[in-house]
Amino acid sequence: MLVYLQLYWAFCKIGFTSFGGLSMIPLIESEMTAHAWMALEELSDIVAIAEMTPGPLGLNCATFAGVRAGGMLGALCASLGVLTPTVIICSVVALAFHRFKEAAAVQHLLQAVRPACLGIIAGFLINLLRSDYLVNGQLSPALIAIGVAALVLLLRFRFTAPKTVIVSAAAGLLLLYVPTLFRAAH
Amino acid sequence: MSAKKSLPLHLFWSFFQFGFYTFGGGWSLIAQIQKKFVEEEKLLSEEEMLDVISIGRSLPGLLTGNTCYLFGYQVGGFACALACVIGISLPPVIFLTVLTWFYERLRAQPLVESMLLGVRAAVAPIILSGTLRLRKAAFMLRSGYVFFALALAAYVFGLDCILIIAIAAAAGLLLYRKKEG
Repeated sequence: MLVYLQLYWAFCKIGFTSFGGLSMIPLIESEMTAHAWMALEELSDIVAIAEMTPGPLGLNCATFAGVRAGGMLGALCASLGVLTPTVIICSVVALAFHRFKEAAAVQHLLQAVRPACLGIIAGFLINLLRSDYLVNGQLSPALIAIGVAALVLLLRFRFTAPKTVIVSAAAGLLLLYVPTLFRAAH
Repeated sequence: MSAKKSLPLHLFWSFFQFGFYTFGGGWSLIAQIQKKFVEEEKLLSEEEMLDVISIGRSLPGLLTGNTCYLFGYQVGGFACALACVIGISLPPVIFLTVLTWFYERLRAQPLVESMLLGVRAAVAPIILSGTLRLRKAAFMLRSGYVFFALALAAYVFGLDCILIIAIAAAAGLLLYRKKEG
């Protein structure tokens, strides 16, 4: 029972303090590791799976994390949690919709929160770099090559995230799995 | 009047369908809402839709959820707002529940594991390229770089993310109000 409440509350907090899917990821990471619900590599898997499937990134992450931590009911609690702030905040705003449009305070707040979100994401990326390029605890040249190639595809060739995920999955298969077949044959 | 009664249901069903094929980011969804409800059904004016988008994207939480909720509310009040949010949320929740079930069972298979390792290597670049797109909005003011650096330092130092954002929000309210006042 406790885990369901914890999931609901964790994602409620995440929803209230994040602005958009990407800024949610570091928050999810700190809640997940604080409760020992999942490891950093699994979080990378969520991001990849969430990018591949339709729907908002934040909701996809909540569902995935919820299933991992507490099964189907956990998924329901986590997704209700992440949607709660939307319902509460938007209900309040909707009442004063036209006054809100001109509210300078929101713009002031965002001018500080947006760069702070980027700062947190940058810090999170540093953590990710330290965990995502290891195979059995060893830095893997193949994975680094995939990472560099993915960056080039995304920035230079304007690949979308789902396409990049597919290409890198194929590359992983080719560079990491196929060689083991040859080794086994010898 | 019967048309009005079924409006939440109509919205729920439309958003449920949108939910199945809106990949990555809210912009493809916004384009669909625009086409169906602003251009074809004229439930909302172009200008109202723009307000919904700009306000929805400046509130905390799921930006897509916010946009759908505000859209529904503007069209027909609370019931319609809930219908839109539930409609757009159900498909991803169902999808991800099924996918996670497979993930848990297959992830240790060497073949699947090798693909997951490859995909993980692409996640940092994906997040990086997504973040680069946000930098214009974030650094409109020079002081943005200060908030960026402080938040990064605080994160590396181990401060709770939620706390960092709360502090930034408070600082933004105080600092920028003074500047204008």
